[in-house]
Amino acid sequence: MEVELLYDMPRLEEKLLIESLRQRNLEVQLTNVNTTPLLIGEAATEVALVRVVSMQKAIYSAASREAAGTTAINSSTTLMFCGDKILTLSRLKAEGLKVPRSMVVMGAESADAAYNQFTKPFVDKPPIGSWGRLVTLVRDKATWRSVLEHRQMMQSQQLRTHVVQEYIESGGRDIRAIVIGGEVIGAVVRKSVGDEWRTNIALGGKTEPIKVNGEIAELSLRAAKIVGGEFISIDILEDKRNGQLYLNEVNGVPEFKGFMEATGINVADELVKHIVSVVRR
Amino acid sequence: MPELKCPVCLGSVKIPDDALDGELFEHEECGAQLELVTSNGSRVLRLAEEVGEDWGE
Ligand SMILES: [Zn+2]
Repeated sequence: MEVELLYDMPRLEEKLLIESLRQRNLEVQLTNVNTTPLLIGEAATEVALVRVVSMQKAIYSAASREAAGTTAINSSTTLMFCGDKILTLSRLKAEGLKVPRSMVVMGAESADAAYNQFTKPFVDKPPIGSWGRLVTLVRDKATWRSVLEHRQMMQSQQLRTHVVQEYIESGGRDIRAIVIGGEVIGAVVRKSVGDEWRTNIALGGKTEPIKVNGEIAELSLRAAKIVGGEFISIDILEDKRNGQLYLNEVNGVPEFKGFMEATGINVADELVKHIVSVVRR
Repeated sequence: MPELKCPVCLGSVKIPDDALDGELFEHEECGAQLELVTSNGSRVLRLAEEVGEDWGE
């Protein structure tokens, strides 16, 4: 059996996946989506593993392979819903999952109304992107003004759009669970470091393993099912005042280096085992 | 391990044998973020583009 791995910027994760695929005697076809044109409806493999860092390119890579009947992990629709925070939050909310109260702000004229409707501080972020970029904790009007000004100058409509969100007091930590094929393989807690309130590992956040309790497992599996994710990570915030859990983000091309180091779980191999079982069934 | 030339400081950068096109390297000597590409059949390093707006998990 052959698996195509589509990538643009190979990281440690992609190298580990290639290694695991080869160790399990699968043929690997490597496709750099920046240097290889993708003919819509043409695919050489049964499974395409989409590991493209650019969200838009990831969606297009999956879609062009799906047009040939290939199983893309993740599918283009999963990548689309996970890649845009407004779409993710809306889908999760529609299915009754608890998400932080969030508002879409698409024009400067609506910014004041949004500001007045949220307890300070609140969180402001664009619907796309990750690693904590452009995510701001807004404490006062002056900060809000400068965030608006800054984002108004961006080229893309998506980066000019704001997701205004209630700030969940989670004590600078969030929970990240990884789901592979309908199973939670583990979870970690990520802690922000020093004065930084964002927990992203890209910003120096520290990671520790935690036990997956029933509530975390249920939330993660429901979220995975809602977005149709075969291999996704789920970020959960726990309100430290009352222990309530909120689903915050769902990632369709998860990074797992920090998770792997903290838990000792070989995420790449777990995924490859799942891919083998999908093709055999 | 092949050594390639850094386009920024012209120093030498060691690249692992199994490196893939598109892979990023930081040149410690000058701090440049470099991307490995194949151009006319040979491997070269070029200055990596800035973080794309839709990059991330
Ligand atoms: Zn250099």
